[in-house]
Amino acid sequence: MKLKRGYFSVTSCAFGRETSLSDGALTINREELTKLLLSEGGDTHVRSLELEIVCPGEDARIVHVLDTVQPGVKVEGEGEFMPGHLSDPTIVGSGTTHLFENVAVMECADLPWAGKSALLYARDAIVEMTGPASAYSPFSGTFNLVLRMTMKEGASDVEYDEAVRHAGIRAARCLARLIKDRAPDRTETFDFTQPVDPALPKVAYVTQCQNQGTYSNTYLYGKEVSNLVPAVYSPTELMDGCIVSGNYVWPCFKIPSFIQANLPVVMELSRMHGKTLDFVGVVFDRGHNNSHFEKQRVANLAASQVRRLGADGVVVSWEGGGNAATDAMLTLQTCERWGIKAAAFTFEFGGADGSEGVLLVDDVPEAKYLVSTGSIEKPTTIPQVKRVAGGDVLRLRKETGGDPEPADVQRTLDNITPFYCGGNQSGIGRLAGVGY
Amino acid sequence: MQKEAERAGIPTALITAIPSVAKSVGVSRIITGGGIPYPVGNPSLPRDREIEFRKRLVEKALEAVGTEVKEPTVFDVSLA
Amino acid sequence: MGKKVRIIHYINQFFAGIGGEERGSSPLEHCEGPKGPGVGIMQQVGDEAEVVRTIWCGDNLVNQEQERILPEIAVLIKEAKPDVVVAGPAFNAGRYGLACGMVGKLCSGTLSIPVVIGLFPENPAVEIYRKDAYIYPCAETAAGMRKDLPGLARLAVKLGKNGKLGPAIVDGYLPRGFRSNEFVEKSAASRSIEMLASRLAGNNPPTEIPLRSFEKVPAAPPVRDLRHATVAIVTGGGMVPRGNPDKLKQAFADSFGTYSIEGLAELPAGDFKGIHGGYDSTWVDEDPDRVVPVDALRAMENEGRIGKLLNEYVVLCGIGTNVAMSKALGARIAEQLKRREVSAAIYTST
Repeated sequence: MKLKRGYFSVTSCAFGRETSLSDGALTINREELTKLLLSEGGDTHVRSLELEIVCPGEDARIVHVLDTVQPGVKVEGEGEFMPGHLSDPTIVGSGTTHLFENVAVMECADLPWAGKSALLYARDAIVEMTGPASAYSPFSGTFNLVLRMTMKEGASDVEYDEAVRHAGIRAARCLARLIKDRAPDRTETFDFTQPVDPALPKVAYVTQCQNQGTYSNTYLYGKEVSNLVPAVYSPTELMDGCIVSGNYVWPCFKIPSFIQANLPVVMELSRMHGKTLDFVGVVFDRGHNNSHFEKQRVANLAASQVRRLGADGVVVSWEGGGNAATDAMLTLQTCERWGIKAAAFTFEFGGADGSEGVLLVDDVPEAKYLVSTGSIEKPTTIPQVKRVAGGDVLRLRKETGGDPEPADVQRTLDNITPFYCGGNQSGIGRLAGVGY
Repeated sequence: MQKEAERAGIPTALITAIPSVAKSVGVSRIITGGGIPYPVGNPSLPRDREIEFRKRLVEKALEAVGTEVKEPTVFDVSLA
Repeated sequence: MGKKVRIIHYINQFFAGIGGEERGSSPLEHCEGPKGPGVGIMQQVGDEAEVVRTIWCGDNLVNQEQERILPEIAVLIKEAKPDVVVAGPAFNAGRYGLACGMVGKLCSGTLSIPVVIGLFPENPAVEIYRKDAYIYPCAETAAGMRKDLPGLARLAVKLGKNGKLGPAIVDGYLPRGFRSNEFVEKSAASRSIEMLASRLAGNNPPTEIPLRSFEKVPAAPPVRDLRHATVAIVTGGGMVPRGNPDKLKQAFADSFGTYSIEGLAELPAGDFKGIHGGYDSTWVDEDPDRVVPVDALRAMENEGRIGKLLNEYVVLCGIGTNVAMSKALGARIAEQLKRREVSAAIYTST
């Protein structure tokens, strides 16, 4: 497939009289958009929805962050950006797509902690716009349209999940309409239709997502992937948003939709394609399988796809904690045993100074080429901020009651788990564990 | 955790869904359990069969603590 | 132009030219200037540094009488006012390696003087003294001396000038185990692609994360007679009485709970609940025996196949608990089991 991406970069974002884009200034009519989001789709279980804009460098923090979506629109070629959500599950990845490069739509809601499952609930997620923790996620650098939502009582998790996702996607599509018929600031074309010099090494990417039930799911062409059999996708399908995230359980261990459509490994390998390597494809699979047998099975199936692509080398990464690491390590091991060279990146543990025993929850002897995305066990102090968007309180520690605490004050968090994307599992961040 | 009990002289057996992790950590006696969310059970079985399965897992664990082992050893129990 | 870095070099009786293993009890001695491999170090460091004193001792002597000899070595080091101490290289020699490690620990501890030692990575002294001194990886035998001295010398000079070294992967010493979170130049994604590209080009790039190695603890002897044994249940699966009365954490455990199962034929659903943050607790909430198998063990107790099921079980949530904490908690749990005269324990994990 061949895809051209047209990028639009804004220099300011504010509420104003008319939703419009002019000379890099993005203006949003707050009342109009709020009304649209609350009225479209009928009873969406959303009790209130308030729009907030948070800009890079602001003395602010955003809480209750669920998924974050990129405003994008297909200009040419089949399907819609993020197919399968309020749209048909049409195969995407060809033609032309326009995208806002530095505008993000954030779905924020204090989802009810209905108290049933000890895993499946949205732990409070924090995005810092300034200060030492701001580089834990790329969204300290984007203009964020925050959908601060509260939910009506009495609905199910599945319904809340869908409600927040649809609100976010609708808002993103509304903004994206502004850039459909304009000339982009810059473009990039990814052409996987041309033959590649056979002497170039063939490289594949295995991206393993999390899908353990509602609030921890990932959507492929609009449906969650609990029974996913690993399969191959074109890098441009991912760039067109075929993977959407509904994963809110562990803030640090997640890859939001915005990043799923811009996975750094996918982008970088695609840019190198045809020049220094042959990017043969992306294998998408799901970790957290429940037994050793199932983990080995998925690992074998994923590795088998990598082998079928004729890959000489593979990059492996995963979303989720230790349980998922096992599946991914087995995948890496199977690839290595078949002669396919692997490199992977992962977060580490190690305690406060890194010297306390295990750095990795699980590994295999073949995992000799690993890149670190940083330790999640370091305490982080976040400052007092002037403004909090998305909500007013932080809800931490459900298992001991989860009482709300003020969100604007300085506090020291024991580890990085509450920070959105803090585990750097897409590899987009520059946080690393450095050994001394 | 378990190795500390062994160090204190108490033989132990672990029922777990991921024996590979237990083996690499060095747990001596490992029984392959039902699944991560149900190590001593399997909800896909009919109720009375699940209880039977649980008993067999526990029996195997008891057999394991009565067995001399030199290195991490996995004991398997069939589902049927 | 700074002043020359002052190096003190510690070696053994062999490299001091006195003799081999048979002279292992040769006494602690020293001389001004370089000796043995120190001459090679001088050649490497040029104008930047100088070996001002060389200290040596028989390997057996220093190992056997460290309480007496190390303080004497301390005096010899302090009075020569070094910027850095170099010990070895000891390659894979056991006692020499330990001696170098002891000198390393002395320097980094009481003397607060930067120190670097040269050891073969599998020398047993590495694991013991890893955190106490920078260790430069060397060949297995002295045949590697010529290849290893330049690197050792380079580190000594850098250490003497700066007081500490940069990241292990950059400066080329064995990671001591300390890790700090830093924002580096390139993203993890870029670095992993580079690492793979390097491998595909036939190279062997260094890994950023060393793999785990666990302490081997021999298995306890088996239970002799189950029919008279007291069996206990310990779980990492986070099944606690409803309301989590002791407020156990869902991850990164720092405590455990002990709860009564006196008189219970099974662990009743509703009264007990799963709080583990790493797996969907729906199934164990439905039937807590799926993670704490009271029903199966009670049945065996009634049938006389085990002596007794202990009237309480232990629980915590096993996610993210680092090794040191796991050992500490494990030891306390073991102690508790011993006090209750438990003969064997069944652990369950998720």
